[in-house]
Amino acid sequence: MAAVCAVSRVLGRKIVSSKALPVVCQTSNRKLHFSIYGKRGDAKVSDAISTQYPVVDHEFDAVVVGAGGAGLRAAFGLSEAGFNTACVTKLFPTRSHTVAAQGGINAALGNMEEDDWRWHFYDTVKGSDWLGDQDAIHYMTEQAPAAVVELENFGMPFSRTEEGRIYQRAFGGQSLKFGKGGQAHRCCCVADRTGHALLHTLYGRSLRYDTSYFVEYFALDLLMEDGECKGVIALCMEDGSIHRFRAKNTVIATGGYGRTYFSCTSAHTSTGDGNAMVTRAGLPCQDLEFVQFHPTGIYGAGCLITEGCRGEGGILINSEGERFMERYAPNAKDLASRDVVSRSMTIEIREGRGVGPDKDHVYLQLHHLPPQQLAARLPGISETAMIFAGVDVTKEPIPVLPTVHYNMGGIPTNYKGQVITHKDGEDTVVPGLYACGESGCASVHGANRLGANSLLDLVVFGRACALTIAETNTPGEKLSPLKPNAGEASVANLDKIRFANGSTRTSEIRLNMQKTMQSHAAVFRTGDILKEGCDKMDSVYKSLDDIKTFDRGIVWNTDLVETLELQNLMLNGVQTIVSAEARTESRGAHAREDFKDRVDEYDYSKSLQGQVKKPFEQHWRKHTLSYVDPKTGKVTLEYRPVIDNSLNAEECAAIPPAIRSY
Amino acid sequence: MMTRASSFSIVKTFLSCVIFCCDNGKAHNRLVQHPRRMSLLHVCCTTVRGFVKKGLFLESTYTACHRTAGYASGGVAKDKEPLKKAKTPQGRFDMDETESKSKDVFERFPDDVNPETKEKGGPRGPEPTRYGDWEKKGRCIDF
Repeated sequence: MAAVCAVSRVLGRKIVSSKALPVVCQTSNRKLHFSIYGKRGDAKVSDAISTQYPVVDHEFDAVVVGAGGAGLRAAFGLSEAGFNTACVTKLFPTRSHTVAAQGGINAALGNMEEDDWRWHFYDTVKGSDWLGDQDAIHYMTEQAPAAVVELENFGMPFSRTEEGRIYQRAFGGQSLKFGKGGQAHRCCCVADRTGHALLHTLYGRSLRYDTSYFVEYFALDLLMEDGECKGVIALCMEDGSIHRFRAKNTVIATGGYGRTYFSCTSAHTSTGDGNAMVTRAGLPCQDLEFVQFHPTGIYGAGCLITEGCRGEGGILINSEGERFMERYAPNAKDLASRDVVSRSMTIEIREGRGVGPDKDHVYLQLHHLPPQQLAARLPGISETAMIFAGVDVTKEPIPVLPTVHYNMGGIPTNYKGQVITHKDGEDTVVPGLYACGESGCASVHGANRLGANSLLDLVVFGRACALTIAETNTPGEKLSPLKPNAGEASVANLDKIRFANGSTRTSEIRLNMQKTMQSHAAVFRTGDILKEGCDKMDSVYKSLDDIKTFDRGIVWNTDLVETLELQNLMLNGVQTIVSAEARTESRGAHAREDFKDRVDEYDYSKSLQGQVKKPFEQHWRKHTLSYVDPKTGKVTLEYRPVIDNSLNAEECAAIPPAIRSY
Repeated sequence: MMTRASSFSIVKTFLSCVIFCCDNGKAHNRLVQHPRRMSLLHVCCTTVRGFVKKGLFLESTYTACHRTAGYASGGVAKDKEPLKKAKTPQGRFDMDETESKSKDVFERFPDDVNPETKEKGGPRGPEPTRYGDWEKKGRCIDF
């Protein structure tokens, strides 16, 4: 079979050189997006790093790590611009977590009523609690209509109105006329599987271009030299070979890190690999303490129960059978806002009134409601409860606890998608490195993400990375030299883990970390709980030295890959909890009981006249930048100011901070 | 339809392939050390291909004869019967087509157009955003 391929390739080259040839022959020159034996003809094998681990070197113009919504959009954007692109992903593209995003995508198309992207801009800035960078938000909301139309041109089957325009519905805290014009209808969707359709559309579109996919390659580390990113080193899971992808531009689109917590809606593969790679390269991660929770996620399964259950009369009860929400919110009771409900549940659990053998969750009771009413108002809930919780919703309560849904923080970038660090009070670009998607923090979501904005974030910034790279580079540029032993430390780490012979298994350490994060760095945050959590996470981090793995092989070693993922999760976890402990205010998704107010440079609840501006060190309207020393697990924090000006003040005036109330 | 004789010949060829591959297992250890090793799967493929081609050829000629013979003797009536899936040993996975459809909670709208909102190709069932979050079958998808 390989011989046939080689012969056709040789023949193809000879045939293409002559002008008179039928169209059919040209396809023989095209590489399949996978190759039979996992190797490509132009890759070179070397033993520069280690003789035990032969390393295959590849050279590309650009490498994209991750093939979810943002990764695919960046990959084919680059291929379209003529760059020789590689897409390195640990999952097959259509299995990325984007496929689970079933909500819609916001854009100010104006199909249902008159709309303006500046109103979308206002809503997003307000939703971020004025921690979002307004230039990035300007860029995203201005590009939103064009991005949605582009997706629709790629073939994404949006639902339509009678006239054939894209149907938009009200969702995600969107308003008209800067919050004064009532509810806006901006959310476009594809039936109830928008993320799934988006991913399949992008994947199908990307096959038109000549991107080389390296599927089931686990990216280990960035190849950094003199502060410049020169590529990625990855492990091929299929045959255990190490691959170095040298490229002038690297785009990270690896997704979030929900799996740091015990209860999350993310896939098992959401392990924050990109964030960890950047941390190990000595670069900061931004705003990791902002994690979005939902109060009622099914215990063990991780899927969320709608607020409609409580809206229709469902109640939350603790181990004593008491309707505890009456104590925390006497008027609203179970219909209080999400953060109040989450915090009340956590307090009940902490005080020992949780249910279950570990007393770590509460019950959502629906069986006191008439079953016909449940079936009429909430069709499908009995099926959901039976499948995910194993309970009959008309007889037993559903076990629930606050669940992580999204990570607002990630790798700091500017509005073009270039990764930045903050040196001497200035944002400096890291050459050769870009980030987009959930792993990037541009920052458009700030302290809290609005619904249906994250799918928009993926496509807009995935495209932005591709455009920025196309603007500043030309395809086929010669690569700068790389030290022959680059990536040595990653391979040494891999070897160490593969033969680790301590006393605790990977799964035990992971469960310890998840339980610690769930009880200390979840919704309910106070100084002493966070401090206790920081110390516990420190000891869990140190227990990584005592890890034991069982599989010593190199082919499809999932024990090894899970342990590498655990190392990545651990780096994300320690940064999250230490940043949360340091931030002494409540803003957006980060709510502290001991510091309930937002601390800005002025007190925006009163008139600004006569107020003295607080210096940078004394207020909290700033981004957290966290660095970790991977050997000890020690976290250092720095801060960077929020960008308050939009890209173009005439087109779109920046929104001055105000008190956020809905 | 396969008679017992033809099915037995298929089983025989398959078993002989399996035995051949197991014998090759010892050779596989040596192959692993070689950097450009051929995977066991590849080895199996080449052997199985050879065997299967021979077996299939025999099988196809046999059934071809059988089929033409069937046509001649009123087999047209037999072809009009719906193809039945062979029952699994336990019979557990036997599901009637209609049974699974009636369990589907959401009815399709006529022509896929929602009668109230006139949305074409939209989500089935009640409006997902009626409680402020995106709800489907009691699950909250986005908020």
